Amino acid sequence: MELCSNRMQTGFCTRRDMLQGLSCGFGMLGFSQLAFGQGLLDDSNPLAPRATHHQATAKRVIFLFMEGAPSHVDTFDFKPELSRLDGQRGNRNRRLLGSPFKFEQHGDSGIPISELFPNLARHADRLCVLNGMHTDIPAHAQARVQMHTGSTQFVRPSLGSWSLYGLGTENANLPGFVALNPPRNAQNYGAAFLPAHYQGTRMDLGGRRLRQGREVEAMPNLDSSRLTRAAQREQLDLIQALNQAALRDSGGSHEGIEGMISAYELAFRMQDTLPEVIDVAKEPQSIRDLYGLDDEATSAFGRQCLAARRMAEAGVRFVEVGFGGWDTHRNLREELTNQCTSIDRPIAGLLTDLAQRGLLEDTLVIWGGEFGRTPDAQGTDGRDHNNKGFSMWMAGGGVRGGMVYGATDPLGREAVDGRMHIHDWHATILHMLGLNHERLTYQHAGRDFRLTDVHGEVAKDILLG
Amino acid sequence: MKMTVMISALLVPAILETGDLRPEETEFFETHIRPVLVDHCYGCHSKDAGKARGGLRLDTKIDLLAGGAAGPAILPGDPDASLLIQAIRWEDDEYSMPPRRKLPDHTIRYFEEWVRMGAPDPRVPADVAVGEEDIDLSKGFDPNVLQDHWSFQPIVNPESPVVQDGSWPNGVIDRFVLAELESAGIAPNPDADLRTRARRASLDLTGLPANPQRLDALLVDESPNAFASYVDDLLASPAHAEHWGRHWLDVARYAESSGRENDVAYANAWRYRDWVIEAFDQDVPFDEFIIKQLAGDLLDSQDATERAHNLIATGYLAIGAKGHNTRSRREFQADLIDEQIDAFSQGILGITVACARCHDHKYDPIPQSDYYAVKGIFESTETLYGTLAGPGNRMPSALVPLPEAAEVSHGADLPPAMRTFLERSRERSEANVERLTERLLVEGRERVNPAQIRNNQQNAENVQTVLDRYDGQGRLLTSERKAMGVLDRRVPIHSRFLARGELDEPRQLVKRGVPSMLAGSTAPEINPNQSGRLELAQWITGTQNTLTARVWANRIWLHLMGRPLVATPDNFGVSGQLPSHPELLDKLATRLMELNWGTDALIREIVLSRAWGLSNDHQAAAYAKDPDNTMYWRSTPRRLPAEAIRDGMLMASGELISGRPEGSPVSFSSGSARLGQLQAELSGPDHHRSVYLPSFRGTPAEFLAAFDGADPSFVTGIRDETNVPTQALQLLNDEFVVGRADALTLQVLQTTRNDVQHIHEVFRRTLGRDPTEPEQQSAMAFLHDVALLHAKDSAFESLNPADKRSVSRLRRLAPDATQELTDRSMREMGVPPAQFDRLRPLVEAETLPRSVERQLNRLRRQGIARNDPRFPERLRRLLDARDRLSNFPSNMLSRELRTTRSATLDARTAAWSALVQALFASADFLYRP
Repeated sequence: MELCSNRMQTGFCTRRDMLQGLSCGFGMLGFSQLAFGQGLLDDSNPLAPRATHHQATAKRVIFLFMEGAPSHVDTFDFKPELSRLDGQRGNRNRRLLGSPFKFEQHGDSGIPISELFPNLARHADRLCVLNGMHTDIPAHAQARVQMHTGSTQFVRPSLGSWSLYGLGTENANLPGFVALNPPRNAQNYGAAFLPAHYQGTRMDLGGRRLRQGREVEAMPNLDSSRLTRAAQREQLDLIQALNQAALRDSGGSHEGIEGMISAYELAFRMQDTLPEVIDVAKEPQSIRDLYGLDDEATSAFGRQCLAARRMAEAGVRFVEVGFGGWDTHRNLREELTNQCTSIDRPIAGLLTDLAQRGLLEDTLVIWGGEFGRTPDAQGTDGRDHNNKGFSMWMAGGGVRGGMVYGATDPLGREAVDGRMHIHDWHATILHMLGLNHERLTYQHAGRDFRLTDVHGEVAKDILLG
Repeated sequence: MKMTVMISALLVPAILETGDLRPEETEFFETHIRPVLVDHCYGCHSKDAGKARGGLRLDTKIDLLAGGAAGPAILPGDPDASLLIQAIRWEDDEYSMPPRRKLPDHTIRYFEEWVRMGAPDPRVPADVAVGEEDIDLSKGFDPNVLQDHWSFQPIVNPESPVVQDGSWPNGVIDRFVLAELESAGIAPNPDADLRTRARRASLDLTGLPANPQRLDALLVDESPNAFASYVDDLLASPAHAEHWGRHWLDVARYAESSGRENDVAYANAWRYRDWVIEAFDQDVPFDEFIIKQLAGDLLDSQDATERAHNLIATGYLAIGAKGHNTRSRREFQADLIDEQIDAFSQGILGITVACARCHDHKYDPIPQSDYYAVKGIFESTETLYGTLAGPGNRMPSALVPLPEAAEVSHGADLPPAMRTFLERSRERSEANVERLTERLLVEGRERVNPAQIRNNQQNAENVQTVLDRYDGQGRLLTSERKAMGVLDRRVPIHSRFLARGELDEPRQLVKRGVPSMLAGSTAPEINPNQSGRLELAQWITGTQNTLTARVWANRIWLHLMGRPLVATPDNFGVSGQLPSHPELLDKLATRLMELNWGTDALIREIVLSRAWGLSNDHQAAAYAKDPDNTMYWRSTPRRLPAEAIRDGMLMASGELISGRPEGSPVSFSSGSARLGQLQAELSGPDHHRSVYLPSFRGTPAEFLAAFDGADPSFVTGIRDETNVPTQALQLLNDEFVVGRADALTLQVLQTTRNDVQHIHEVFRRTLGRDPTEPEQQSAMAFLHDVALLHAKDSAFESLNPADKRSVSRLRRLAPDATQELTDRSMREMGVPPAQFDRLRPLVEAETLPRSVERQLNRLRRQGIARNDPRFPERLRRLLDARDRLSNFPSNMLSRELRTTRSATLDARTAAWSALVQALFASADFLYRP
């Protein structure tokens, strides 16, 4: 079909001719070719890749956020003393609850991991388990916001936004910060006072929302409800012709219009690249098995982990994958088992897949929730919120594998050793990305702001080399 | 040290706090109250015990008054309304204190008596002096800054500069602009033509495109005042107040919900919004405008209506972002006040006073004690924002009642559909309470969370509270006309200096007052019987104040000229930017005050200047010297604000509803803003101007947010102007844009004109001009091509309804026969045959039959998993397809299947609509001319 007829002598067809392949339909051009073949944007683009403060060990982050706060003493923080005292009186007259799950040492490093993670346990030597985590407030919403932005009181840019601001993006055809099924509050992936292009692009991929029976768009306005690609290309060409004319009329130089023209082209490409990245349909069976896509229990989170890998591979700087349902005040045994079953294989698959593609060494994978849970029982089969001590882990991206860093007291109540506050955690993540948390600043309302405010200490012990 | 001396002069002896206790009152407390508190309460509610259950501490007077999560523990004088009394009487299920054994009746009576006496309480934290270690002097501001920094110097009316080209300036503003240009050797652009200036004026003054008839009339009007009277008409139009009201609402961080973690709905915020717009409509002098917002409740008023408006104006202080789920009321109060101080100091004074909460300001002359002087004013003020206690909201509040006789809006009537919706919600909650309670009794607390019961109960009650506000006709009861706002507390207090801003590090009291160093000799005496807000407001708007007029003049200039004279409009402090034209700024500030603080009068002077009316063309010579146009050699090119884009589309399509809606759909929300949002959706598409759209901090209106609408969690003096692909996606694909294009198209095509005339009409309505010859040609070609492409899609559409029925029938009867039909559909759709195999499952799975679900369940019960060989092949294929579906953005389907919502539009209309949409998406439409 002849789509380009040079009916206006504006020269606007050149770009179109170049991209004509795109208009011919879905999947004609591999996204990676498109992603890396287009060349990166110029220096004036705020999303262009930027120099780091120091040598980075991680180029990108996949943050597996466990919304609702998983119990640390049942997963990664082995507490024999708690089991010994099981049933005795603890805080608030509640009985101490020894973990109903067995722990075993795994890998050469012998990291204790509970039986809830049989697949992940095989990666023990890749994990750096952080058992000295602590945060300020034992309430979900506030702790969540603090984990994502550093502040519970004020609206501040999120970790992903700071990362993108500091590093720029490597793929001009995709958003640089993607939040898959993030927590509801947009603050958690927002840019606050940072310019809007650093905010997370939210997508809802068959996660929680789908389970509630209502399918929502993964990302709005990613496709025309009316026009075919070919017709839309025609429309875009008309817009671009009008814009070129406006640009000429304004004297040939107009930053706004020039920016608009390139934004339209990127948007048009994103319509094809983004769904391609999200679409895991073409993955071979071996990959489907790796992430557990064919198993009801693991397919939802598996799909998200796989999408995260594809995005990381395509150059997205920061991907957050949200998975809720960890607020086990009751039915701990059953719920925690279900939760862990849903994520164990997908995460193990993700680590295997990243490693076999050579991506793990510069991709930082982080796992954890907004806080931990009490060693005391709530009822007989539940645990309450505990912000004073909990566990997270990291893998890849220059973190020391096969290591347990930090510890809580013998009951798991409070971090006592290798304590890592959210600010320290932020500082450490930025450090691995090659950013000095004290130098990564943005001026707003008369002063320089940092992700870590006036706090934060890099946990050097967990870094390789 | 100099600083320390100055600070201690401000500190008040502790005696102020206890001085008025009579000896018998003290004795009563010491005999009957303190011992009980110590024995029965301190264990869980004191600093020494290290506990504050429910956020409540009872070991100091301040803590007792502030209360915990549930609210103030006592209301002096009113035992029955005091939570503490209710708790010790064991009246309240939740708070029966002490929890183990009820206090003896006579003890309870002592407590009642004590509260009735006004709760005299001699307990005062030891008055710790502010020590050197509490104030970090080394890192604070430079003591000379008061003399050195420009914005702290008095505003002087500058002499008009001499210019070489005396014929160029149209007035005094132009002389200042030209003088700078001449000294830099830059020639200003020529004037924009009259049509451009008229279109520009309409957008700048009203935020709407120019009215075509009025524009035509202007172009043939030969009188010398034609343009001036055109501008006057615009200034007098209600649309002007809406557009400039919106500018202020950016600064006032206006929204209808709390933001932060739970986004609680503010059902009455809209009254403040309407007040702001009305104030601009009446061109209320800016000083009066400010005084009313800070202290309207303290002003005398002639009648009930004026009184009501003055109260509504104080909504300014109440609408800020708040974390309603904070556990401690003290913390909540401290943050609320901090937000108020931040909002007015940045918004009105252009200075960041809130920086001094924890230490002396790093740059500006605001010692930490000044923060607490101002804080005392707001601590003596009660902020009423009107939310109901419920899940996610531990900090409810009442509202300011408006006088019954006042003539003020009743707000939105409760539509019958909404009433039904709310009643259902209440019934559902009630049913839940019943069901859960039953389960709780049977299954125990292990399986059923009692909090859920409480939440449902509370929701049912809250929804009922909302319903009870309306009469049978759905009209708001007169007694329920209330506003967000502030009132003075009964007894004003002085605030305590907090070392490092920490709540549990109190030091000496600081006397209420305005920022002392900034005020110097202009510091007002604070009325000992009032909060001091009135004095604060009068000081802020006094002609001696060096900041207020400059800050507002700079904002006006920004909105008209595209870039401010001070590039940091919310920060005129040392860390802010210096003015590019200090004398011009002072001239504008002086004029503002000379014009009796008349905003419109100053706008008029700027719009009639030559500088405003220059063309925005690129000019190489000038650009080389001043690429950022800091000297205003041209009109600064810029995109329209988000609201103007949306409103402009509605105006072009003839769908804009002019005038103000009654109230806001958010009024019907009893709790979270999510409900308000749902209700906004229920009430259908809103074609009022964007300033009237419901505004939630947590979930901003998508269209406005994409085009850099103000984030209401912050004071926004200057909006971002980002250029990102999500905006392009919005313009290409958003249903709002498509819908407006359709509406415009249908209207135009109804007329009996030829296509060329139609094209002219479409250009005029969207871009306010006729198409050029090449534009006209490419539009014609576009229409032709797109109609062809679209026709192909609709061929499928026309077949589809029958096919769809057949597909489902055949699927049941003869699964294999569906393939043929599916393939036929795809052929009709123009899907390349090579893609058939891949797409077939998608087409089929789109309507996965119920029977399949049943079969799946059966297999699951039998333990046959999907990778089991016994699992039916066809089913596996369907499930794979379904997986892909849920992987896919749902809109991918529409692309692949070419099912279109435009089925009702014929190919020609669809092509025309696509043309209109392209015009909406063009720079011509989106950029200020």
